[in-house]
Amino acid sequence: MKSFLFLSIFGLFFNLYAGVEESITDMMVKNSQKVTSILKDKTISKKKQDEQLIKIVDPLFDFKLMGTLCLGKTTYLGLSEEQKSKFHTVFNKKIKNSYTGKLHLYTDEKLEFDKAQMGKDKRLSLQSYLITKTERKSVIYKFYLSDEKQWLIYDVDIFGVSIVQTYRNQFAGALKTKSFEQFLAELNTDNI
Amino acid sequence: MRFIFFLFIINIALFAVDADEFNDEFSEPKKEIFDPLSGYNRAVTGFNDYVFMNIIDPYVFAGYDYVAPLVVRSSVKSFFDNLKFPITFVNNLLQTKFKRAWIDVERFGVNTTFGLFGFFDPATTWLGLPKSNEDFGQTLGYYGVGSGFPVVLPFLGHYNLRDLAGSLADTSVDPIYYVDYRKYNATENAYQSWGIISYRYLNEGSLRADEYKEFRKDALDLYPFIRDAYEQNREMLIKE
Repeated sequence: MKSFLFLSIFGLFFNLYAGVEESITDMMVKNSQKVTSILKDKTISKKKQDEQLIKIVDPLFDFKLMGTLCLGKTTYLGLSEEQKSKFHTVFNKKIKNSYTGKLHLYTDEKLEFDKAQMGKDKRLSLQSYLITKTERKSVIYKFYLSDEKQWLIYDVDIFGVSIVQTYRNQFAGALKTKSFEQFLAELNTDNI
Repeated sequence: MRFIFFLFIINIALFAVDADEFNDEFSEPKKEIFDPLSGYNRAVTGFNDYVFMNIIDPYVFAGYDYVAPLVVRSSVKSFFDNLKFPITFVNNLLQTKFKRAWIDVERFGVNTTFGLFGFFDPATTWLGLPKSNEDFGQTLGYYGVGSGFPVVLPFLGHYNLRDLAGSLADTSVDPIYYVDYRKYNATENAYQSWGIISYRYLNEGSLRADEYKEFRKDALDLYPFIRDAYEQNREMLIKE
């Protein structure tokens, strides 16, 4: 009886994740097709395109977690609730602009997806390749299972460069010499 | 006081649920980066960026784009990539990637013949043979040689000491370089060679200009941003 119970629980646990790899890959393939059709639609303005792109991208990413990771544990815990809220507002805007800006670069390119790979601790990585006319570039989407049981992206490796790791290093560098308010003001402007 | 302590604990707990488990995945920013040329590197990065944004992109690349549309520039890149065969082949062998080295041979054979001297890439489009991206800097990295320190060259951009030494070594097998001690050279003298090399840089640069303009927007401070992205990209290429 005990072993039956154990097997049932064990089976249930694995059923929860069964087929996740395929469904994540399918979902990303469909979304990339939607993104491509928006980017190719020359009848709408770039601003309108961006709005539509953000509608697709928004539910896929956990921007709040990304921002928290970029800032790092020690810094984040040292902030007041107001500072955290301001930071997330600025960071969300920055990262969405940055991501949609990059999508515009690859209007005619194809994105090919491998099957997603389940990692440890409810993480999953999805290897994809951006096929340009002369190159095949690696883009890896990293997902985690949120408390709401949704698989959300918390980082993207573009040609081996992790968005979170790069911002993390930059933020740490900036906060060495600047106050949090100065740093936030800088993040809020297209400074270069 | 107790309430504040309670809030503090809740704060830590919330962070723990959301983000703590991810912190192992991302390295802590290094406190001290070995960068003895940082002053020079920063100045040259600023110079390169200024020249790119104000002269090269709006005038040189814009003019080149006008006379050579994307399809032409892509074919020219394919041609030069095909000529890099000795570099990728030798470095695949040095890294004991024999299967990849053999694919390089197949690619070179197919693209040189059916691809009309490499201007087209049927090895990828027809046969699905993946292109290697190997160089001696990666070979050194493969055998555990550290990256050394960053070195930024005027016009040519960011390197580290290992990759700079690696790219100098690669010139000995790169057919478009004129190498005195080499028996066979595709060019008659160093001037011809530098002309062709400059054109290769112009062509490749024009294809990547938009990428650079977009990625530089992510920088709060351009030099450390490029340094960090460069190292991450090279690490990936070495691991591949």
